[in-house]
Amino acid sequence: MDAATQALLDERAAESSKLLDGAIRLDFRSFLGRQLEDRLRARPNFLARTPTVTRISWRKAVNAEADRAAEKMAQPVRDLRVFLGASPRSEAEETAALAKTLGEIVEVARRMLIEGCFPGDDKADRADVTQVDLDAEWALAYAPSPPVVWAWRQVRELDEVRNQLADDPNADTFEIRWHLPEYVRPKK
Amino acid sequence: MGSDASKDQRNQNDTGVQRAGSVQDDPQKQAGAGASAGFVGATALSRTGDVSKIDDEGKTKDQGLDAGQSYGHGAFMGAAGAFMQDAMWNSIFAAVWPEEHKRITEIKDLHTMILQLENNPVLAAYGECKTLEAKGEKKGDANPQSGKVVPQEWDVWIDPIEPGNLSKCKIAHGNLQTTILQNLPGGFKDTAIGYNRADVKAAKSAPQWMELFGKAVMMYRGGASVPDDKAKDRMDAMQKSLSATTADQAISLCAEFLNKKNGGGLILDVKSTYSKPQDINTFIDSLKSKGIDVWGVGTFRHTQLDGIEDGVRRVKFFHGLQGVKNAADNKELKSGDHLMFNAGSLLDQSGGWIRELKFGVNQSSLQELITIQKTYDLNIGLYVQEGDIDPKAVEVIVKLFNRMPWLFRDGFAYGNISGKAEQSTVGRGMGAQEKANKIDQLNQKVF
Repeated sequence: MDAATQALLDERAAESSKLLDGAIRLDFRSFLGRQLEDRLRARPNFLARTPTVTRISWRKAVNAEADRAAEKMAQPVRDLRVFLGASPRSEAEETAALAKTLGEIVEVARRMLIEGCFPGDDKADRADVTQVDLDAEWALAYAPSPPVVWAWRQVRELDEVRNQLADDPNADTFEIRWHLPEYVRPKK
Repeated sequence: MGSDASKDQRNQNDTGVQRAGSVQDDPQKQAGAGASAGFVGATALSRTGDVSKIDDEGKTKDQGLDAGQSYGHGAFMGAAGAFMQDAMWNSIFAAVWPEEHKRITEIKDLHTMILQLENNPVLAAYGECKTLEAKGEKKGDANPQSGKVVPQEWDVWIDPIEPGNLSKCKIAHGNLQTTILQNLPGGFKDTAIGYNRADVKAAKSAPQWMELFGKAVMMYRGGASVPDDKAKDRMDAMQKSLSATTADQAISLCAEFLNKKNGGGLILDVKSTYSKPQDINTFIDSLKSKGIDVWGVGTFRHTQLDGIEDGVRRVKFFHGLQGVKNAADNKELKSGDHLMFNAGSLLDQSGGWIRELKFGVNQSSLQELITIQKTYDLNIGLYVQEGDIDPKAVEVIVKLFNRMPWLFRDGFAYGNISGKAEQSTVGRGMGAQEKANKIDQLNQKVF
């Protein structure tokens, strides 16, 4: 591959990787925000008892925690790409692997709910119960949103282009034709 | 930390219970008879039951105060009832400190007995030995080198003239008046109130405390190997151990329990508000020279902590959450501060008449605490007044502690054996600090 085409591939790979990072960040913000917001909307008595200073701290923490978690995901996601490059799986399996890796955000949400003293999902929002539910449990499940899955596929397909051409400079696949149409095969 | 309290509802379970054979009548004859629930002292009722254990499975020797049961508050004062009912330990107490044993057995109510046994070295030895057994040691081994020792707390009055002279310090809490006088704003804070009060004057010095502790452990080692049904043989074995133990040997043994390498050590609750930081450092250095490790120094008078030597934790004591909130509002907290406050101030109490008595953690209080902790990255430890706490309240606090170890990084200084609680005490654990916490509430900023 000539230097110019290589630079194009690198540029597209870097851009798609950046897009994926951004999509994960957005997804995490959305997921964490919803865990708190949906429960607060459903629990006006609990919300009314929550001190202002605590609500202020939540407002700051929810985005910061999401961003921190997304940042922490960068390396595991990179490592997952390396593994899948060396050990190919179906598209569905790759998406499942990504979902499992990003699933750590569930633990962040659980920690925030514990720190926020949120009652368990099975408890009613009673005005007369002012005590913390020390047995609280919540139904928490994360699945990557369609934009995250789309960005992930872009990254993975560009990885595949790189790998296909490294294995066979004459390779002719959909991924190469779509993601790197500028590529010119060497003359036989 | 302050511990006297109002007596409402106290010993409410006393009525209608026949007095069981009181081991203090003749402790030597009773040795080996085995502990039983019932009366201790003159008419005090005590019963010990199970509660959840403080989670400290991951605690390592070098964590010391940092995890799980940080230290045995008040020399395991909450175990006073069980201690007085344990025939063998009752005999040990009578043998090593007869006049104090006599005084304690004449007490008529459990609450007073618990307070009077606070800082008692024989009770401290009992707490350590029982804790080691609960952590898997063979009965009677009482081997501090297993590394499972719980650090101890000394409520200490340092000599104002010779702070480094261990034989001149006093290990005593001080009674209710002392506590109130110490917490008054202004003039009284810097005066040597303690030395004017009989309860401090009569207290043991550091070497005396250690000698009693060491001798108690030696007697226990000697007696524990004799079967329960051979009371006479057991008493003989214990007496033999006592006779064979010199004061120096007893002090050395105690020092092993107060050493970091065994998981132990000391936290000093400095009651002498007149002591300057350099006085406290001199006192710590004297302890170090005897092989005793001081983990930390705690005081309600926080300026005493400025200048405490490196390697010794500076712990700001508060009566309750309100004091912590006031300190935050007044910008008196620094990032990474170590502080302790009474966990009872986090609890709500409901029922008790027609409905079942219940305790729970107040939502707003806990949320505020978490916010303050995160703002200042605080290292928070908890304690309670064991003479003023219902076992249900202990259960709630342990449950909270185990659920949020990240919030309470400096552990729970529970003054009883982990997993045990006195069943005959009442309240949320605040004791006299309820009043001090109320004063803090009056002093809070209104925005």
